[in-house]
Amino acid sequence: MVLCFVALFVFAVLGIFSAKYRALFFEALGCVGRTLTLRPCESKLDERIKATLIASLLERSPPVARAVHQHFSILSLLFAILFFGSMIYSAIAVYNYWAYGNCNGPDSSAFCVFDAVLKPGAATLTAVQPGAGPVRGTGRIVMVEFGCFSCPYTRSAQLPLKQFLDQHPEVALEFRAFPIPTHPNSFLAAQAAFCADEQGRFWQYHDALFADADHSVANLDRMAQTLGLDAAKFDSCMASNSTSAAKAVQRDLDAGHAAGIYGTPTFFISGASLVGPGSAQEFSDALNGRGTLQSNQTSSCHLPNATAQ
Amino acid sequence: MDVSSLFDAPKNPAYFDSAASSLTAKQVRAKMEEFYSNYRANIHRGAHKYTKQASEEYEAVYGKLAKFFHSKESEFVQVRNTTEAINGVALGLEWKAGDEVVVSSIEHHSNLLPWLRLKEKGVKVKILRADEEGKLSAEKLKSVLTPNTRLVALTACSNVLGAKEPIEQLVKTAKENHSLILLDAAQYVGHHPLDLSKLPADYVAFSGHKIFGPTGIGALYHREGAPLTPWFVGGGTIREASLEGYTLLENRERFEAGTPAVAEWIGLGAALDVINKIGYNEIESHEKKLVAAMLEVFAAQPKALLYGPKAADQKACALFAFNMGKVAHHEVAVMLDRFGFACRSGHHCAMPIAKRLGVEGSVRASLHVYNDEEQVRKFGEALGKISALA
Repeated sequence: MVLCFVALFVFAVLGIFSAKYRALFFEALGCVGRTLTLRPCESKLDERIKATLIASLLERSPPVARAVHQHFSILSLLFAILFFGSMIYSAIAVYNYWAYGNCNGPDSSAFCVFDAVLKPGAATLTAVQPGAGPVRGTGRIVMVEFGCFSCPYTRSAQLPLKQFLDQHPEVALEFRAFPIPTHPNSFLAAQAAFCADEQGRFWQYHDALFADADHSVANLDRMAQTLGLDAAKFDSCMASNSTSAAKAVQRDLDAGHAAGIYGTPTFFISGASLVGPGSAQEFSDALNGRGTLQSNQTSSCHLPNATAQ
Repeated sequence: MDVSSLFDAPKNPAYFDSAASSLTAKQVRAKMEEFYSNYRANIHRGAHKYTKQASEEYEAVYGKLAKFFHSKESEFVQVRNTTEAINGVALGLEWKAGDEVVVSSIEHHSNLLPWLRLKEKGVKVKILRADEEGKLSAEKLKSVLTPNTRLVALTACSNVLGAKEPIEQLVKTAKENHSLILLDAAQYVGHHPLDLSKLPADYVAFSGHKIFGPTGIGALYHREGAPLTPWFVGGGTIREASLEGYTLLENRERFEAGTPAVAEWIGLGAALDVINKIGYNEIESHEKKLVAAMLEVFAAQPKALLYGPKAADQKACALFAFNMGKVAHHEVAVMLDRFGFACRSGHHCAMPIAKRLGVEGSVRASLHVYNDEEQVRKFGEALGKISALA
């Protein structure tokens, strides 16, 4: 009986494309109506679905067919629960995507499946040339990272990035700030890092920001104190969004948007781009012109309402 | 003879549903096409060439029927199907309170409901119980007959159990009681000859679509002298009509009101030709082999519950109702369809049988002269697969 409810939705969709499925939709509708009024399904659609499925299984594996046949009621109930559960989650995800640009909700940075279809930006990223941000290391090859200090994916990229840089001293890392606006205090954290840069302590502050996810104003001040920064200069640098540090963040953001960046971290190296944390090996492959980093969109913190470039 | 050349028998799924409706022979379709192509016209009361030819072909069918059943042309009435024929008899006899009708416990609804409806007129319906395998007994019939038994209505072959019935003794017993006797021969005529010059049945009903003919056509035989008044009146049935009343014809035309099913009737005649061409000897001997093969298949399936006779010599035709353990009958039919066999499932319009068997329904595999033993072997393999679930 419960299968008719699933069939109703499935055949409703298939019925858009084929009259054959429209007839089955109406059968399922009748079946659902009778089930809801505690009457047996006259069309026997549920039995037909069950028998067709079991017959297919019988041709492949009789023991599996027997097990499915014996426990069909429970299995179909579980299937129905999963089906409708996924339908509900999908509906919520679609709403989130429409409202916040991320199917996981306004405050989430988790991977959104719709991006692969609706945000093919990685394939059209424009390579960003180095020379505009703080650089770690002295290697002749410069890898550019666009990152958000409040993004968990950018944070998780730091360890493989360190391993890669340790293995490849010929590579230097240039950091460009790309604070995701839906992440609380992401812009302020980036601004604080550039304020530290004015006192020659960018990379220390950079590491502190990834080590501590609390980016409240009080904690940003505390980090500055811990690193021995001049508090007055730091406070002055953080006082408004018209300071040179704030302008540096905005400059990086504009550069990122111009390059088509839609999520963090995004890396550029040797003509390849990588969206997402990656591994040390993947960074090595990109450096050596191997691998398929050009369209890697597996996981990153996305911009809300990002569109294809 | 190569029977397969007479039919366009489907291969996948193989047709195992002949008890519901047999395949229509190519010759039948050709004859109907001939009517529509060459002399498509209404019959009788016309002077032109086409109506004359249509009338000749139409009238010739009565002659074929008479020859086929060893009876008279005037004893046949065109009907849509067996159901209409039986209803016609129930409506065409004059009943009075206290009359009794005997029917068996293995009847198709079409030979049960028309009689049950007579209860409204005070007619008593008595049941002749069949045995476990669906066999009727003349002795048992004798025990339920009384001087008030006006009519005995029995199947010549159950559409669920397919047992060979002692038709001659049953008819004889009814006649000895001076009761009228009606035979529902829907499942019989396509498989066995019926010589009405020797079998004194008063009424015999059958359908064209079960004997290789078209759908929507059948015939009612009513023995000369057996009472029957037309259940329909109208065009073509009267000798004279006025605003005050009418006088019916005295021949068989009084039963056939309105324009008849000309093409289908001509098709029915062609179906009789097909049976004659194949010959009942060939049909019976082929079915005997099929019955033996099918019974072997069921014997090899311990989880198959076969209803009706298990001995080949007790089967009237290759018709097998069964269930597979606890697997629902409808599911079994769907699986068989998937595995290449078109079978029917349900109560087969015989709910009292299903109730007697204690089941909601059953699967029915019914074969005919166009099926073969190789199909039966593969059917056994399919049942073997399903038995894994039972």
